[in-house]
Amino acid sequence: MARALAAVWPLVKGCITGSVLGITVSDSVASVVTMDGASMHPTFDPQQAERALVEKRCLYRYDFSRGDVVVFRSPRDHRELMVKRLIALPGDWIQIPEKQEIRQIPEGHCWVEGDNAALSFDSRSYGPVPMGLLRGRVTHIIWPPQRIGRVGRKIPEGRIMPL
Amino acid sequence: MSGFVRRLGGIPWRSIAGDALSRVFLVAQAYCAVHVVDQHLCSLAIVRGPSMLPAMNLAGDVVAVDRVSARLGRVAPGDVVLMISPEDPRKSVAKRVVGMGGDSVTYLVDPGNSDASKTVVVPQGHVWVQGDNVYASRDSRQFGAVPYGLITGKIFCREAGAISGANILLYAWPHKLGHKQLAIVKFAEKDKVAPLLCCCVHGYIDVKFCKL
Repeated sequence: MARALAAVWPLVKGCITGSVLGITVSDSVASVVTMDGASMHPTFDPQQAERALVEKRCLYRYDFSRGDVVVFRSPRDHRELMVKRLIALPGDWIQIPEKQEIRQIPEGHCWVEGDNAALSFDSRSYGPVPMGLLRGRVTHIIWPPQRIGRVGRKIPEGRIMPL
Repeated sequence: MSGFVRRLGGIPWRSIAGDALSRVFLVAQAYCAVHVVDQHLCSLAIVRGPSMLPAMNLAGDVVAVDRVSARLGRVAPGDVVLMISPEDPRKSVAKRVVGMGGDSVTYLVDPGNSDASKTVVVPQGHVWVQGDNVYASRDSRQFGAVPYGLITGKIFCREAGAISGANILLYAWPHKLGHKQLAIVKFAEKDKVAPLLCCCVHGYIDVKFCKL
């Protein structure tokens, strides 16, 4: 019994060490997210299950820029992660064409929209999202191999007046 | 000169480098273990401010925060939670959960100045939080229902301080005029304690928690 334990112990120790290091790296440096849904077409293709690199260094000081693709916990269900483009930062004025209104983003919140406006459930439905829900910024697509590349910034023309 | 180079060659660089690397790895493992326990299991935090009087001290209390229950969704009305402030993502605040998604919550809009109250239904996936001291608390009455994803932990234990053993409240009235008239109110008489806390926050009286 003791010998079996002694044989397995290095393996168990290695697993625990590896998982602790992996969790720390995935929380503080970068992690991988799988894309699901058509709300970000054409930036992300809904047919192939694409994987993207999410960098977490931006969470230390919450320095996001307009036009970044961000990952955040859904305001409707905290277990779900959503990927949308951050259009406006706190204090900006944004024009919402569907409702023909202009809103100011409150302190500590941001406005997110999907690139595929017709199929996207975003801030136009649930309003500005608190920045505390943001979980990282998507910088690269890393799978499938033919789609590997940077994910750039894009700002819709003429809809935002920055502070 | 060549003696110096020979001595340099004699130093066991490989084993020193191996030693150093293994020590750095040990430090890295320790840091990662602390990070995982602090962010995902249990953590300590200091909370201060008047918004959770009398449960939490004005000057600061050390509390233990349970991260697992919040992640699993096991937060119920009556729990004190630590959450990221919706007004500034760099700040954490401690408040009490009053209603979960789907609940109907009635609250006093401005208890210091009027008796008006409002009733709202909390949207799905959100929680309604309020500070225990409704006279001096910025909470859901000002910034609305808060998405559950902002909750980072459930506060379950407080370092035993003067307040935990207190059962009476002393107040001196009116201190601004220089008269010191001491009066005693029992902690259990909650409807007498709340207005006194209001006066304390507005600066009219001094309040002290003691044990009889």
